[in-house]
Amino acid sequence: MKLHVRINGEARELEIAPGAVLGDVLRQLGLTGTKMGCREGHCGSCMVLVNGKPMNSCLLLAAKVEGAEITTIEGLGDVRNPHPIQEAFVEAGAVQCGFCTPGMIISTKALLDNEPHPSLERVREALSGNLCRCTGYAKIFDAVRIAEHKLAKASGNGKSTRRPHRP
Amino acid sequence: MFIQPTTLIEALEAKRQFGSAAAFLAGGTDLVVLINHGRMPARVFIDLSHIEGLSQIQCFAADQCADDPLTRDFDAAKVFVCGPTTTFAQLARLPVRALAEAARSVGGPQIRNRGTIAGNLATASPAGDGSTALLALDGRVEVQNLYGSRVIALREFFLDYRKTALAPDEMIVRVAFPATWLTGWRKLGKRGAMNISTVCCAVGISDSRRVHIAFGSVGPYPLRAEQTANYLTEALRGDPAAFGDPAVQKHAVELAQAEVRPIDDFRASADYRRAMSGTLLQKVMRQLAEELTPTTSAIV
Amino acid sequence: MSIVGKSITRIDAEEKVTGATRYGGDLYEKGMLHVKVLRAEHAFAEIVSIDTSAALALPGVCGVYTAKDVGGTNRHGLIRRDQPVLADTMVRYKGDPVAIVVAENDDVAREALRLIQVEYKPLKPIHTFEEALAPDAPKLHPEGNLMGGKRIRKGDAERALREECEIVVEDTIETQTVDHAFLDLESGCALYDGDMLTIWVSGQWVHEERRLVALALGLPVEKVRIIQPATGGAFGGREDLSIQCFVGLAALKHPGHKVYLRYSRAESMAARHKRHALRIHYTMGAKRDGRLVAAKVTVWSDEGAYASTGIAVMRKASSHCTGPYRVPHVWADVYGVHTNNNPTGAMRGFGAAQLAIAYEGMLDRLAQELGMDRVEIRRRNVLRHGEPITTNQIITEATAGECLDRALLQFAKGIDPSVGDDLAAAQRVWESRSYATRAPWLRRGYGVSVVCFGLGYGDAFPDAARARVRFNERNELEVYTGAVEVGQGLLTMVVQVAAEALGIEPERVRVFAADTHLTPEAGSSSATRQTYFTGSAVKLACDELRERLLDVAETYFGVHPFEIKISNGILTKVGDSGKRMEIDELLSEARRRGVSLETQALFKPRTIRERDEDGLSPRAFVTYLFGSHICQVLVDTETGEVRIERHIAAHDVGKAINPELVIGQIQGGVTQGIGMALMEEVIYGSDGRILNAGFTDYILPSVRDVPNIEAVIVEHEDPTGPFGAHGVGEPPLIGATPAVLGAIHDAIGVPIRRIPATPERVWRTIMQAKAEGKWQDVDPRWERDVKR
Repeated sequence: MKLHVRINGEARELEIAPGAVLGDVLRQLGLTGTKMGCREGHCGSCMVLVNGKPMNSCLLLAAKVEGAEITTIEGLGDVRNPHPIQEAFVEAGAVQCGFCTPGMIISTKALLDNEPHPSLERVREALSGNLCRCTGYAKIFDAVRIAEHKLAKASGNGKSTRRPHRP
Repeated sequence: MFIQPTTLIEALEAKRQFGSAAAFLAGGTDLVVLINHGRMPARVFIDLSHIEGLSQIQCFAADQCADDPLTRDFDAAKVFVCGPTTTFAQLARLPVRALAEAARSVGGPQIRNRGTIAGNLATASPAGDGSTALLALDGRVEVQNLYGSRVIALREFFLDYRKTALAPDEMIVRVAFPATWLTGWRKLGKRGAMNISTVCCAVGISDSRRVHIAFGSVGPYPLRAEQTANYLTEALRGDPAAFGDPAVQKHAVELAQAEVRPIDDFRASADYRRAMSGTLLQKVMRQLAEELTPTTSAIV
Repeated sequence: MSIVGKSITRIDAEEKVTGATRYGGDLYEKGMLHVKVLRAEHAFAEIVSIDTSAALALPGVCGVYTAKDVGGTNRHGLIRRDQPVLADTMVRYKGDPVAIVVAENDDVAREALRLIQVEYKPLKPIHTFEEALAPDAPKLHPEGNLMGGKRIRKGDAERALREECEIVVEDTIETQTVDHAFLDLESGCALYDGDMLTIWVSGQWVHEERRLVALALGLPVEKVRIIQPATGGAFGGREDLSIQCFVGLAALKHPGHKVYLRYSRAESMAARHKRHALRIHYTMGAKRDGRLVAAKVTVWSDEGAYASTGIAVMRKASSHCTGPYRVPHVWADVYGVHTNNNPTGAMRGFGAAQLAIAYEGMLDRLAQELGMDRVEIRRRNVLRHGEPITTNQIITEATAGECLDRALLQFAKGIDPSVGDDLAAAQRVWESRSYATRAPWLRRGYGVSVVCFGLGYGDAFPDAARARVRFNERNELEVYTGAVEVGQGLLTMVVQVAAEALGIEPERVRVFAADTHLTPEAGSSSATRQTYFTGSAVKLACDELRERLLDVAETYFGVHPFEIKISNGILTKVGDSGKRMEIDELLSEARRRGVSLETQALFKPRTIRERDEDGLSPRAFVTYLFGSHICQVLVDTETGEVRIERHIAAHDVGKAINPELVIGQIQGGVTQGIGMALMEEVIYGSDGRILNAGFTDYILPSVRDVPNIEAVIVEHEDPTGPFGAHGVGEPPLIGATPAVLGAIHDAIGVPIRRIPATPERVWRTIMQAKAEGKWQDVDPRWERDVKR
């Protein structure tokens, strides 16, 4: 069957099987920043934004996202031009093996897009669907705080260093 | 095959046509796990996400409910009616504590954005948190096929392990439960998030002070504890402070432990689950005692 | 030092946060052939026949291979080569591989697995020590089910327990089977071009993997090349071979085609080795004043189906059986027993973690019996400089006590910031710690642990690292190391050591790692050894280059080389910043003079084997690491639920080359230790299948299960390590588990004998205490502190 979606801002028409799982479809497109660690919705490594909402792409049939706007980790920024949240994860030392990192960043983005200044409990809540085996989470919390400040600074001083939100 | 109906009738037609070879697909949080494990659960997926209005929550006053078999006689001043694809995230915001807390305890936030009330009921997992809370609210579902609809009380909905009263051509179209009951919830698991219930307990007290109790993970499906509920209803009639009375708590705990039907599995032993059914009930009673008679000082 | 000691950004972070990093599973390209593995139907059975004809006939299947198709020994194993690549005569656990399928796509490969007919003669699977050692038990291996053992005989523990000890505590502690649960599932690809077999799969020691693959598949070592992709965690779980031989065999059978294999989480858990479950019977004796006199320890270790690194784990368990404490009389017997459970091998802590649970648990029991504070009993027994550890090795820098002090200071500062560095004040805060909670059935507890860890393989096992360095034509320093980055930050450590040693900018350093044909052997990324070993090798090589450069610079500055400073790529004369020279200029000059700008170094410190008869050795390990934790928990005694309120971990790392990475290692290790203490457990069914082979039921700590872990870096420079550093990987896990368990013991007054301390086990322990009359419904400390 045919699937029409926008992925990281680009309109795509894809041929998919009815039972195809979104995470697999994205990875087959070469978007391997979306990781698959458990396929049970527990590790959160496969998190992507679907119309701005964070979702486990391992639990989502691709056919269900017809017409949707998908944002993967690659859609936030790249090495030359990283998103402030990506920069924050680097600065905080929140990355070890890095396998959970794309999912953590996607969950963070979903949170900060809606709540620019979340409480600690809201941060914990937002990250409670993502597992990390390396860091003990402390530096990931630090990264969210750094990201919060970066984004606030960028939107507060009028001349944005934050690039316009990619559609 | 992937069918994307835009009306309920189309969805029911498809279900009629393919019967048990077809599965309704809402959030997919249970169904896609099966696909991931190489067990394709159906040949045909009927995606409900393009039908409008299926995730609406409405609130009706009792006098608006009299003509609808789904909502009448709820012993409540107000009744909530949810569409089948109402998500846990939506339920988590409702002012019905047992259901809201149960919903908040399901999976992580992303799962709660996708998992639905009808999916939870139809999956009939013994550990279904949402189902357990709805049982303690004595909720009802309206199920529909191409030819008509019927109302099933949830107390009659679960038949056996992962088996429900739903016919192959039927779909849950509405879920109703009281909005004004006093309720309580406690869940026990192994970690702080993405937590599968080892045991969970929900209590609902109707507007006229009738007690309803349900447990999850202590039987083949979520169970109601009728005798315990009857005992507490009587106790509450005799003494509004009964929930705070250690003797009443003790007796209720014993009754509940006798009513549950837990098994041993790798998540926990039957002994522990039985004991915890009582303990969680006691914890919920302490919590509710505070609200039934605000002078009692309770610590949960 | 200008670069060592700084938290520079890890060099792979930018790629990781943008999703650009390629892990094994990300190497898939269209057109690759798919490999899948058929696993045993029974945990223990003889293979009667295998019929692959139906699978081969399936359209899209390119090949089906069994043991008879394996060209070499068909055996691998890090210590004993006892594990078949594909089972030939027998299967010994549920994860044993029997055949592989190579197919054009994943679905066909999966379908073909179902069509392979294997006839088995099942045997009754063995799961327990008793079953394994029963006289009529069927043997997993020809030499029997007792795999091996290790002993320690120091002094005369039995006599001392009888005659010298004024108090003796005795108990049996059981630890569980643990899964590494790295998130990045085993996956990768291979290509055989008719001459060379190249394998892109993550392991922990590329050169050893090359040797093992070559032997098993029957190739000359130089015809196997292993290249490590990015690796999403290892924790010991990638030490044994995983999929290397499967993709290797498939590639050999299909020259010119790239083949790809990726495990599911369930297969990963079913196939991989695990942390050893131990049963530890411990008798500890002391004087009334709390001074330890003797320890008698008997350990039974579930080795599972194959040897893996079990022998080494047993040796580490025995050599760490009394921890960082002064115990004159030690008697230890460790036995490894084969069962039809998964093979058990390396995992962070490597036997030392389980024994720390035992000796710290026994110390807590002793403190309780003596009515002594648990910090105090540790202070009295912790090794001082120059005293011998369990195996009689003299510890010249015994910093365990210092770590305990630092942990205590951190604990106190959290309650009263004015404590500062005043240890006496910290002690007062500790002694007045509060047991008040919202209700009597909620109990607080405080646990303390002090632990040690012998770094490296030790025990005379050859332990070495090489590194090669060269300045390239762009004047970048290229560092070649066979060591693997698994997430710990090794590459960044290498950059910092090299830059510091040569006085150049970190940006000038380029690291090439973990490719058997490009990089020199560095040993494994395990045993907390790479900062010490590869860090040293890199430093030695850079030191050599630096001397050569200084020889050149000498003629420019006209002074003795020791008066020339190189920093940030600029040479200056000490005390005279006026005269300076850019390193680029110096390198050009060196080239004009024909000075070689390439060199390599070998770092190979010696250890001495623990004697067979008494397990003692003057130098079993190159160096020891110490750490101390304090954990504060809240236990709901009605349900058995445990919440960790605070966790403090102080570790002597010698010198933190990158403090942020060190803190990350501490916080991560503690979290795994919390998982081991409270929730993680591989559970086998009676048929030998893992019942919780997925993340729904193999429970890892979530963001809601760990507090903000307070990491304290203690720096007591180790003169034998690079810039004083030694290591940090394993000790944080080792310290965490006993501290959590000690805190639960403190809260409920009785110890947990079997871990993890799930709510059910905590509740059962309380129920038993009630039955034995050891339970007070209200803790007197609670009553005291609630009133306070």
